[in-house]
Amino acid sequence: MVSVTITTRPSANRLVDTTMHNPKETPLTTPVMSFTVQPCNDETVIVHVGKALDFRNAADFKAVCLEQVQAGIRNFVLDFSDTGILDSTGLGSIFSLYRQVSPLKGQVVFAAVSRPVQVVVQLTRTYKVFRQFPTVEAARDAL
Amino acid sequence: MASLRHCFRDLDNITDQVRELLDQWNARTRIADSIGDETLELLKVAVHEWIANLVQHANFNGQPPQVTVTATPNGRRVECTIEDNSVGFDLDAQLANCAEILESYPERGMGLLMLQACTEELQYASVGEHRQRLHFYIPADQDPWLKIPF
Repeated sequence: MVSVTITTRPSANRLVDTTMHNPKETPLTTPVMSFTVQPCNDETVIVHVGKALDFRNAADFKAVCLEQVQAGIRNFVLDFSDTGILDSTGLGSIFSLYRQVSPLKGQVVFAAVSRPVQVVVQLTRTYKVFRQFPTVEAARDAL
Repeated sequence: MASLRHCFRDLDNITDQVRELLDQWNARTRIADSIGDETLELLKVAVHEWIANLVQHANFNGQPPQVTVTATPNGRRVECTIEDNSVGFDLDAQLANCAEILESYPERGMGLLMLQACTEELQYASVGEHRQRLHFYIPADQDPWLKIPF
């Protein structure tokens, strides 16, 4: 089985009018946004979410997950180990996935949740919906 | 402790840049040592959700966008102001509408509610022609909760 990587790079950046920005500091950069789908078995995949899941790439996330569901996948492990941004639109795309797989007795679980993601999970109490595991391996073994 | 103030004129990359700027501000001032890591993360969430709303929905009436983010430590909380040159909208009405129509496991409509949930004294008003100002505090030692229907 083959992993699939979806990559999005926002257009070139331009930053002006810095009042407090120290020019000796690292210039602000635009990270590449990508996520990778890694098959585990016929019913389960690991989605490595990458740097961000937000309003900029949530539609891509939904499309890739829908493709997986249509191919028979019903269990999703979301790896948040590298994720610095999860916003309301990103969370909405995860709810969308949950609504697709729930009738199929499928699961969406969170693994290796980073601090920024944990803050959103706590704010929205979504730990009541999505089981969390300390590592991807632990999540994969539990499914 | 030094405040943060920065003006952005490029909405294409503002989302990552404002996040990186807040990280650099913390690296420079160690603001998280006084207010806590979680409070700083909640500040990032609040700023991100407002910036996302601006990028997706704001009407700049054909003018080049200008968005100025200011953050100031204020005891055990952080004061934040975000000014922009859009035509603005009725935030209170939008919040009421979002709360009313929020469905189970919602796909949309959580952003402004998330902003409201993790802030105190949230205010949004016009401060001149085509000049809008969002102002709020992020308090430390809180456990905010956006109640989403499950």
